[in-house]
Amino acid sequence: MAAPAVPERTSAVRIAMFNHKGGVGKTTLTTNVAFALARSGKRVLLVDSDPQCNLTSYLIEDAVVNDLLDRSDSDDGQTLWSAVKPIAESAGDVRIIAPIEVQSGLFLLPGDVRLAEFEQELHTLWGESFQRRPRGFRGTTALSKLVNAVTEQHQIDYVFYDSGPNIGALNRVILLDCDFYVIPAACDLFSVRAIKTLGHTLGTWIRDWDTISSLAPDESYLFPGRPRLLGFIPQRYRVYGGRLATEYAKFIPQIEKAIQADVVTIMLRLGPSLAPVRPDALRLGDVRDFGSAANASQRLGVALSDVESASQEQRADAARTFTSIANEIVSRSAEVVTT
Amino acid sequence: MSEDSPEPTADRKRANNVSAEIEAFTKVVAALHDLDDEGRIKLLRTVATFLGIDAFNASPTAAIPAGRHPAATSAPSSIPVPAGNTGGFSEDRAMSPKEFLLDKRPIQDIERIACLAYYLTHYRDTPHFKTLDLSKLNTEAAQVKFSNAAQAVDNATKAGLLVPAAKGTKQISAKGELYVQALPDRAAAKDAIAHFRQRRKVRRGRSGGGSQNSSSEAYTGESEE
Repeated sequence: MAAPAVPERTSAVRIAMFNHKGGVGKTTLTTNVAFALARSGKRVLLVDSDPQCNLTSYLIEDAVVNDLLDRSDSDDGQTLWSAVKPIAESAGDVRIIAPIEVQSGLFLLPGDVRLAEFEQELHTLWGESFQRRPRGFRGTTALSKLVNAVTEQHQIDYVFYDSGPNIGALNRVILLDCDFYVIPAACDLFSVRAIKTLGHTLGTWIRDWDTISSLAPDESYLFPGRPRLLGFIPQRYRVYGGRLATEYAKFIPQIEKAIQADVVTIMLRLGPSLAPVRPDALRLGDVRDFGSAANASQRLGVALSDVESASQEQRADAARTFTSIANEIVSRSAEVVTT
Repeated sequence: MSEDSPEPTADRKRANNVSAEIEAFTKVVAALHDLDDEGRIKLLRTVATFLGIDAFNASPTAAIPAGRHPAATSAPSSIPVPAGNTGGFSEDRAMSPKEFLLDKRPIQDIERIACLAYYLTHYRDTPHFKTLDLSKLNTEAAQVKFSNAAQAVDNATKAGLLVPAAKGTKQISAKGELYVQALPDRAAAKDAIAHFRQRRKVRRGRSGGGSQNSSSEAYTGESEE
């Protein structure tokens, strides 16, 4: 009997905004970079892989989100849980759901609180992958296959995973599926400390997947398992008189140092392509604290640069900030892909 | 009648017709086989037009391409009743909600609500709807989310573009229909509803005949929410 055809991975660039510390502004960053890319004509898919569904609530009205969550367990459910439910219940392979086009060229695979249940199952599936069981591989790569199918159907150029603030099985499969990851970091001591554990965890995940994929049966769908650090973005700092406030400014060199010592060093040991070699290429941009404009952006589901209640200066600054980060992401990822 | 009669009988004529139809049917199906659904519909309509056959009378406006719907191009003097539409309420299912809203270009929330209500009524066979239906359609149409959809619906109702229907649902009003039909020409839309008569409550027994019209000032298209 012929082996089932393994779907070819599409050329869409997959990026995770990852920091296991909460409250660093991952969702706001992800959304606004996606808006900037979509505005420049790219087709972008947002995957709300955080069981808290903050990204989904950002872009879709509460009533619709509630309706999606109420119906996610049914056969016509349209959330990530609806897609992976057959895997979680050992009833079949991943179900391909249609993304929601929230704005022109910007698509969303809605999150679901029940992804937390899938995360429990992913622990078991990871173990089964080590045992070379097909179900283990099928479940571990389920989200990747879903994203692959959607990117193919909708000619997506960039995929952004919004990850939850933890080091769990869900984030493991997301990171291993990505081509790149970006570390958003708040300018505080806790962020500096969190980064120290991030590199070690990522290193373990990559090594484990190397082992698993080397054991995999030939017909298995596998993700690349070699995410490259694209850079970090200091976020949510205050600006006074056009200059960075001292209390925040002092943490930026500390964050940079921690990333260099505890992420870049570990990644470069695993492979020269897994992190930028030049320390000055680490910073992708900066995102200041936009205060109440950020809340209004989330309430209205629009880019920060489109929030009418924000000042002209804030809107211009937001447009400049996120367009610049989007351009950096495009140019750096293209540079790596082509070399 | 003998079998070798030069004139075919009615039965033989019918049999010949059926045979010819089957043959033509087989050829047409074979010819359409490799096309997608959209291509098949387009070709069938082209053939019908070429032969001068009104084959799609049941849904005559469905062939009109997106952006060319009568409601999308001009402000008619009365609410159009689709000719030949004997079945459902829908006129056209060809235009997506995204295309419809792109075409209408609503600016304010209540205009967007009215456009969504119009689409539900005329394109989705849903003349009565709840706020959730409008919100879902808004998402489907790839529009910016409403900051408060319930408030927007309430405002549209106060402006007379929606009216209450049964069991807590809403429906688009005649005034709302006129307004949406005239969009995106905002001046025409404003004009279309400018002289729209408001229903006034008449208080009997009072000489002044004071009318209460607190919540339904005619929508001018200029007010901010």
